[in-house]
Amino acid sequence: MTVLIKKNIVLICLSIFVLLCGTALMLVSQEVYQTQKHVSALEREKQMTEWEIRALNGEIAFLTRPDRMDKLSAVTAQSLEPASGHSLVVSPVHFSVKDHMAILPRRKPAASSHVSVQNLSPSPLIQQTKEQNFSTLLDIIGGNE
Amino acid sequence: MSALNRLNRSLLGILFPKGENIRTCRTRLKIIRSFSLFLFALVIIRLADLTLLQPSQEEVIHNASLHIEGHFERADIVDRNGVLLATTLQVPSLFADPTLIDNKPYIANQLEQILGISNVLPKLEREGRFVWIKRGITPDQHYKVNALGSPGLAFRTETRRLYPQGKNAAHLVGYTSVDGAGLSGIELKYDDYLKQSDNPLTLAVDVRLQYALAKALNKQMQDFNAKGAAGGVIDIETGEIIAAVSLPDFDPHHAGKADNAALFNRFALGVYEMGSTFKLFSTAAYVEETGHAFSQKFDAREPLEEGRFTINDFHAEKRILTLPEVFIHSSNIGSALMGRAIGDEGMQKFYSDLGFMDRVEADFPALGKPLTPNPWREINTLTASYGHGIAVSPLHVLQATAAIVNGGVKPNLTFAKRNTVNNDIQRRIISASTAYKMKQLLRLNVTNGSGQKADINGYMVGGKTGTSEKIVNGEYSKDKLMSSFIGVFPIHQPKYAVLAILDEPKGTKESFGYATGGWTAAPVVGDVIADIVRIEGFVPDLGAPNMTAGLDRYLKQEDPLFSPVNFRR
Repeated sequence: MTVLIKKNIVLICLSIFVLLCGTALMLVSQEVYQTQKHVSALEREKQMTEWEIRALNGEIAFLTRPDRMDKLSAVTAQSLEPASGHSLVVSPVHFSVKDHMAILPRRKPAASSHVSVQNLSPSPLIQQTKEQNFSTLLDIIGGNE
Repeated sequence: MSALNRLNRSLLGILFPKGENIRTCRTRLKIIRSFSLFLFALVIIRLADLTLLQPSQEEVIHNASLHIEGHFERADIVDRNGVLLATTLQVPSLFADPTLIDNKPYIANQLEQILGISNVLPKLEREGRFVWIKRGITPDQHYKVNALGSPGLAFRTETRRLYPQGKNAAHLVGYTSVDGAGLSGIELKYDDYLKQSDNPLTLAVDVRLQYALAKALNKQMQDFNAKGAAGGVIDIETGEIIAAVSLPDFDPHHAGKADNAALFNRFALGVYEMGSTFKLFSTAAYVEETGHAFSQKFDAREPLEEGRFTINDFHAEKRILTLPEVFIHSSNIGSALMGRAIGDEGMQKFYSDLGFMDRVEADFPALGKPLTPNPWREINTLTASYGHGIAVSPLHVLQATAAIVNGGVKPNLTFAKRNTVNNDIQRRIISASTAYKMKQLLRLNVTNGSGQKADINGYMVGGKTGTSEKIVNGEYSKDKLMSSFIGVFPIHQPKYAVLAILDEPKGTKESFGYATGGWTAAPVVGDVIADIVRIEGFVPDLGAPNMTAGLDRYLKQEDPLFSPVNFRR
């Protein structure tokens, strides 16, 4: 038996090495597979979230479309709408040009001539009100120093 | 134990002689070794196969997780402010396995109520294990069908193209097929981009102005019982189409159910005789070609005879008119005389430069080809000077108007948003001096002429009305009109040109029976400009120069000492 072992020592060592390598490869493979599975799950979750965001964006666009807002305005706000060019009565006799410039909305700088609602900054009055509200809230929760 | 060993040895000694025992053992060892090696080899090969050779499982898992019926990817379309015009969403579609449904009449009745469809029961009574009930149902319907709790009802997720703005901009944006291929409008023109890009396509259109124009046109269509309408807003400097409306319109989600009249794009594909709106162009050609001033006079006392044709004025002044008077009274006779002065070649070249002889160049799939006289005779020059005998699309008119008031430089049209002006590809049509004179005339027409209903207090609006008779059975019909108005705002520093056209408006009591451009289309342009003022925050043009200053002397002038320019033969 000892002779047999001595004669085949190389073969046995090789076999053990192969077995160890195989086992290691298998473990790595399993690890990789599990990681891939996890990544795929995350990928899928990401895609589902993206689809949900798309749906929400679509819903926002639908709910805020001009014709719907127009109808809602008629039902809920007695057709209130911002002043149009027709309703801006201009009489240089009663007001100076300077006065008009002060009370009417200003045109955007020439660099970007289109004004989007999102880009309009709130008036100082609204900003002040927000700050006051925020300040009051901090006072209530005791976080304002 | 020793007895057992002895027995074994004796048995072995009986079965095999001593020398043979060793050989047999060696042989057996060899066999076992070979077999073991073979097994090892198998295990190693399998391990290598599993770990190294077989493809990654990731792809399999990935594909399995995203399996959606009828799935397609398509980029969003947004307006110039980022408002969503078209997007792709996952929607559930309902199908049934009839063999798993017990109370079919009850389920069918419930489904009809929830989904708003009919004839569900015949579907449930079919043989087979799969039948579509309704594709692309809403989340609310999805919830209610689930609440029925029937095991025979199930859903498949599909992708659908959705248009949150609905009918608003339907003709402009267009629509796709079920499998996401663009079939009309921007969806068709930018089909490849939308399929390949991850970034949204940004159009030049502003949905707020789009709605404002559609609303104003719809109102006039109803008030004047018109058959259809079209209109557009163009950024004069950049050539961007800010709004493009064609009425009647359709729901892009159900384009297949719309009739041909609703699907026809009057704005881009329709070509019309624009009538007196064309006097803007013929007058510009006259001023540019002859260099004559506003004091030039035209004899409009009697109809103009040209061969077998007689040219009349709709608002006949029956007197000698100055050039501004020809413009604001919309004298066909005066314009025809201008046309005669320009000549056939001059008129054709000028109209060709403006783009009236061919389709406009724009990033839109269906563009109308103008109808022009062939061959072009002198009478065609006369009639084309007041917008008859030549039919162009509203896009042509917008581009040409922009060219006139943009200091004489023709902008290139674009439906996609353009951030910068490419001056290299723009072309000068008329001089800046002529362009300024035309702006004066446009303003004069709104303050003193036929376009007064487009005026807005505090703002400088300029424009020109147009009313043409449609051809019915080869003859012009006095009852079927195309009424239009092209407005420019603010006229001293033109930013937008607004066009409104009404197809076959009928006169009303309020309009004293008139259905002309001044009564029908001019108010539309006025309303849209009023909305532009509000949306874009334009301040009143109180400091603007008075464009009509000094033009009073050319109005109602009947000085017998001043001999008229008479092109009569």
